[in-house]
Amino acid sequence: MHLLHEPLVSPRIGVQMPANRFNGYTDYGVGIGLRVPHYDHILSKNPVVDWFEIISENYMVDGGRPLKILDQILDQYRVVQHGVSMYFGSAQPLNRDHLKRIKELTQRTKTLWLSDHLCWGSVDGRYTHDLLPLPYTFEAIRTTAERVRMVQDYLEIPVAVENVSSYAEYHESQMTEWEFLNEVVHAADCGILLDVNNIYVSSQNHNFDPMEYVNNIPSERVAQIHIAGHSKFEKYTLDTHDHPVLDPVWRLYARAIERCGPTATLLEWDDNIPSFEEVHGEALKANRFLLAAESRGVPTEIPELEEVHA
Amino acid sequence: MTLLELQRRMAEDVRRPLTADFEMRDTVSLRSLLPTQLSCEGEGEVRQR
Repeated sequence: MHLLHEPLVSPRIGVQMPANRFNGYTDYGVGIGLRVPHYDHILSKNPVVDWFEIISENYMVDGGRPLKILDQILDQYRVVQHGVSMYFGSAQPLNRDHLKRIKELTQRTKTLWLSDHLCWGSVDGRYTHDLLPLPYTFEAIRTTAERVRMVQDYLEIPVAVENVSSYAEYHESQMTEWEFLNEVVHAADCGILLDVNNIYVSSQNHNFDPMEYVNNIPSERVAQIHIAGHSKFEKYTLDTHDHPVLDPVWRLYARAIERCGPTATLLEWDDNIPSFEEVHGEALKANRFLLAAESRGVPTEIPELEEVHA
Repeated sequence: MTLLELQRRMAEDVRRPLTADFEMRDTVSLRSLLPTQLSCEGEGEVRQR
């Protein structure tokens, strides 16, 4: 039986110190996204999970089942907040009400860092509910970094920005995506949630070398890594989050861990969600890379997984 | 074009390809930007992308 307030984390990593100033601790290990279909299993079986990531917006409510479930999860697990509607890259002022509600939730979850996307998605008070890519311009760097700084100052916890998958480019762009990411996080003095699946998806859509991207991120700012599955279509690759992580993404993950060291890792699975055991099992494949990094080595082999073509 | 001008234009004009060789498909989430679907609040659980 597990005691309340004693996280059900695996005991494999005992080091209790920050990996860098943008994340919590090196022992976060491998987590999965908390999803509704798994609620009953988690609460009835109390599986050992290093941590859960929640989508903040699903719990920014005044009460009811979502918060009741969240509180039960918080009693037993470490939770990190991840948002989908901060829109750091939108050109207009931040939504103060949204920020206030986010802060209230951070005080409830005690998340050690908070992440949201390096994208835009709102204009003139209208919200697209989508993660739209930014033009990689100096103006966008200034605008975005200023907003990230404001959020970080207001929330009083480290913020990590996530690179998004994209399906369109802008003629206005003045640099590569990884150069843009570097500039934004330096100007904002924030962390990075490095989504290696998004890097791969965008590299296929825009014809760049994904390994060059990973090789050029400022590793000292990587607070967390996302892994996920994607789907290849005839003319584009889509970030579907509906099946296991594919080989090219594991290769990028291995390189990221090689550069960043042990880093909090999170598997996203959002469509056609299988059993908890299957999702967690897929996530735990990341352990071979994390454990190797802890012993200052990284495996050259990767899990043998087949490409999935939709 | 400023960032704000670009974002306003894109919000109104996303159905037109942004690059010459890019083709929108039904499954591409950018289609959700149809002006009639723009709103402040959605229902149900938000999914990650």
